Amino acid sequence: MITAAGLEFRNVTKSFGAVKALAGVSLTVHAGDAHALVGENGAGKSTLLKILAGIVQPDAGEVRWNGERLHLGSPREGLERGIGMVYQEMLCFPNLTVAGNIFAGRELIARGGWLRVGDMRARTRAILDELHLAIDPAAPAESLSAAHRQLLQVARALAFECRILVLDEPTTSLTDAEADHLFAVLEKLRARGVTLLYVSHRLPEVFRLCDRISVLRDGHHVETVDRRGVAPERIVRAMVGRELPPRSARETSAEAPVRLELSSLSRRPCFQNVSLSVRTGEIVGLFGLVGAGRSELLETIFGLHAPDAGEIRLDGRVITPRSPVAAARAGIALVPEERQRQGLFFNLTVRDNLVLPDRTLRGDALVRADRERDEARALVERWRIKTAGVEVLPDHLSGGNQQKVVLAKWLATSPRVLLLDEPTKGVDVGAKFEIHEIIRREAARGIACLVASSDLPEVLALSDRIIVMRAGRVQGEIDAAGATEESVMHLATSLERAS
Amino acid sequence: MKRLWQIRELSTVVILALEIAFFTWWLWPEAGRTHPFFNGENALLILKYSSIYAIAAIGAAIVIISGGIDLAPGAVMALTGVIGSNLFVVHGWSLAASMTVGVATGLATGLLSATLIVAAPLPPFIATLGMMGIARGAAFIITEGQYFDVSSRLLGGWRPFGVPADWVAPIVMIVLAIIFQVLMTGFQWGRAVFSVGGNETAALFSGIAVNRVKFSVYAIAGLLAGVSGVVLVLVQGQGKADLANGYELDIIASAVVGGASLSGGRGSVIGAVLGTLIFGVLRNALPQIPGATFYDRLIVGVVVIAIVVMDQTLLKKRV
Amino acid sequence: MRRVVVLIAAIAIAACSGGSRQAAGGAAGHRLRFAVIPKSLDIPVFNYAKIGAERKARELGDVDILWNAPTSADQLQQKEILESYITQRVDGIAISALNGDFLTDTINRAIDAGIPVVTWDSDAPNSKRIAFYGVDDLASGRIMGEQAVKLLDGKGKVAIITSVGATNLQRRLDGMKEALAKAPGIQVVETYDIKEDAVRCAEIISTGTRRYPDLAAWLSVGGWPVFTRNATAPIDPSKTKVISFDTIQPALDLLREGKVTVLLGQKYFGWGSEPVQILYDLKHGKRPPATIIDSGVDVVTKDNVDDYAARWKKMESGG
Repeated sequence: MITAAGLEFRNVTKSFGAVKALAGVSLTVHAGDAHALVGENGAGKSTLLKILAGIVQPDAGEVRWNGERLHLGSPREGLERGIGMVYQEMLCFPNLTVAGNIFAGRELIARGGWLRVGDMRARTRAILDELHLAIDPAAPAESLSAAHRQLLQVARALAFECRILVLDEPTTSLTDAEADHLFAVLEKLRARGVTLLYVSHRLPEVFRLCDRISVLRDGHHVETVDRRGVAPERIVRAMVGRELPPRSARETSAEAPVRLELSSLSRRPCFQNVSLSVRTGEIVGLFGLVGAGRSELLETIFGLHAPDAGEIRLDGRVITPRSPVAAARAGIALVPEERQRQGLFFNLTVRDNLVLPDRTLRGDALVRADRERDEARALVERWRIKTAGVEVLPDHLSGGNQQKVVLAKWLATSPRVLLLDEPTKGVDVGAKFEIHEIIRREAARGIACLVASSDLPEVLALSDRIIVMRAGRVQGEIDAAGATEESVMHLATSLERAS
Repeated sequence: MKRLWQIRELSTVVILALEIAFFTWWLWPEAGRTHPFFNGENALLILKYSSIYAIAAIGAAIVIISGGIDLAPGAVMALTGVIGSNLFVVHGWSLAASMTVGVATGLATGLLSATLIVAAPLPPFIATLGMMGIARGAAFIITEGQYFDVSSRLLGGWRPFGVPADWVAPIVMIVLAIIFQVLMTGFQWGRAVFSVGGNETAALFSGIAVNRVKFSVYAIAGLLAGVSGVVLVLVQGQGKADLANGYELDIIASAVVGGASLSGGRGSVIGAVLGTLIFGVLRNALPQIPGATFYDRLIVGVVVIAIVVMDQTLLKKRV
Repeated sequence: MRRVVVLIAAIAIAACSGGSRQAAGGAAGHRLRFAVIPKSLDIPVFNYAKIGAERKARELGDVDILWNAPTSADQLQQKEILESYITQRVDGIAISALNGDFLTDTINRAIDAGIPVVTWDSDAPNSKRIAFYGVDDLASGRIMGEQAVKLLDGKGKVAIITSVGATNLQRRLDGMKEALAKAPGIQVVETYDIKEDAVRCAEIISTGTRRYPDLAAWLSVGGWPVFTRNATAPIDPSKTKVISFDTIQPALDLLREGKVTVLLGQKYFGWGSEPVQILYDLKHGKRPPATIIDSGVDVVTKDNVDDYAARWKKMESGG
């Protein structure tokens, strides 16, 4: 049965300077479908969505909705057409309340211009209940955790009658349970006739939710297939254009000396009584759901916060890093969770970004541009960072390459401990694989790695040992060899032990 | 980054050149007479009076690049001038000693602002606004409404280090501009200032001593405002409490015209100095056009807006 | 990028050329540029000088008037303006000096550079200026004192308003005190310094009226009490009389209403027209009749006020 044409991209082309993000992409999303859009970063998915959202104008080509050509000059126009967007990077107003965020730009106004605060709050409550979110509509948005802010975005898109809901990696910061809730809501919307355009790297989700899957690669539309009767490997091959080698098993030595040791480290209310150790050459995965306190723990080790109690030991000696400078000098490096906000300078070149921690630690006075350029180029080559040279600003790099820059800049300081917070969040499959390889290689060279991640498959694939945290406490430790998704999740969601 | 910023400073030079060319053409005299605008003496005069703003604008540019703002320069210039001239005229100290104490006062105000901003921590706007009031008030308290006549004590043919008096200000300006331009572009410290201004969170996460950087930029701004104040007194010949009233806005405007962005992470020392020259030429040339004397404030406003629009457009084109 | 720069330049040129085309000397003809510099721009009395100067310029035909002054009475800024006109090689300068001694060196530099300088209203007597046009301050001060003595019948308390620093006001004060000394029954209870700030006049008069309720007269060597209506509001005309310099409105109205008893009018239009004429003559080889040219004062009372007003109207409208 040929369903009415829904959303159609015809020959959409867009370039940013020398980089061709979309090269004549044509694809159709049938009305009422749940349609997935997959591809590596740099494949063009984000650009396509930005065009749909009205943030970016295509150089050529058009977008049609039910046969009618859309001129999307601004995000507002998209909204008015019934195109609801849920983004990957948190777009929310931290200084407004939850209700304020949901209604931002589309406030309910009484005659005379007054804001109908009560009505907005009530509707917010209704929407949040529908999403099973226990959030107070009057709470300031900045008080929410990253995951809740993500769900807030979904709520915002759902707050108004949208005919097509576009989601860009919505489950990045969600636990499986929260993702289930989201899918339930999405199913309900589908039943209502809403079209879904779902962008995700997580193939299991894509296969679960969607009818059709479109693959983009290097700015081209490769194919669109019906989910039924297609194996995930086929999709991956289409995305990457090559077979991914199977992940190799790792050798770890249990006799290696302990490099990093935390003893009863506490910083209320984020985490308490955390004791763990990481050996030289070991990769320890730190798994936990939202609110488990993993980021705060890593930041405390890195000297951003002072602990209330407990000790940090590096190679047996107690250290009290009072600032990131001190931590870095001691040999601790942190690859932070939000690379745009915490990891990169967009007013400095890629070269500056790459050499900055190293030069700062060395205490050099002068900037020797030639030497830095050589070093930067070497790093770019070594870590296969796709960039148009080292003298450009990092805003043109894809998410995966930006993350590689953050990783490379710290590895250039030859750290002894590498802390990573969600290292492959928002990163495409190919780059994800490369980053994992980088981590493994560095561990093999003797660096102790502590990886905090909420991506369970990633934790399982990468770690030698998995430490599970919940609500600020360590729930348990599992050796990777014998770990399964279930056993880890069980620890992450079980009731608190008396301690 | 280098290429883009070279272009940016170049555009300031181009604007200055166009401005000079325009006024040279407009004010062209008939045959046999010297050009009223385009002559050596007038150029020196422009340099002399612009340098008062320019020296402080160097500090302003550095502060703005670091993501902060400094509203105190005018008041600090007055206070420095008052203290320096007081010591020179009333207490009979040597010129060198009095002016050094004056400059040190400027540094002290910078350190005080820096402490408020780093330790309290107060937003820079508020801290330097308060500093502005404190410095201006102190100047009035010291002078009690009088002024100190420096020119009376300075010998007529005063030539410090053998340099004619009129050249002192421009030379100080040029030397300081070169020193700080090099510091900002060729030294790690300068890059740290750019990184703190570009993304303070990332700077913290990258191991940069953010507080130390902030402290240093406000201290430098205070020091340079102090030097400006001393130069002002030597050029004008008097130390008064109401000197340099409102100069901070011209100083900030000059830095912005020179490429500094108030959201931090962008700017140039040389650009700021060129910006003060653009306004200095305007102030000098307009009174020569009958009926145009009072247009200078208007044109300054238009120029600042035009430059910022140009900056935004340039930025957007890269995206 | 280049297009943007050209666009900015075009805007700047357009803005500059906006208002001044009609008065531009440009490259055509032998036009003389005379700089006329009052004490400041916020003293309304000098607007009439501007009218007078521009009228004379139109009459002469090939003269351009460059009218410029500091926005408020700041002698440092006036010196700066004077300096810039020297380097810009104007053809003549006519200036009312805020502080004649302070400007003496600069005036001499102008003369040495070949630029003729005349002073008006307020002199710089120790400089090389070629002529001074204005009231004989000493004499007019004496006239005021004599008027006061006559009015009060030789006895009563008086308060004086002056502004310390300006030479001309000082001499008026001296003349007045000379005349008052001849009447032993007159007692000067206080001399107020208004610091050339007309706005403060109301404050001073109300403070003084409260302090000295049996004050017989206010004597002002400058026109501040009669520049506005509210300055003299606290005065009860039946008890206290007012004698003031300057006849600028609303002075004449106040005179008619009885708030003010005697006004001494200067030659306001003459301040503009006469110095311009003198400079023009100098440029054509004719020296002025004397170094000090006394313009004389008009004594205006209720009796001759209408006559005076009629003459004024004629001069203002270009007659």
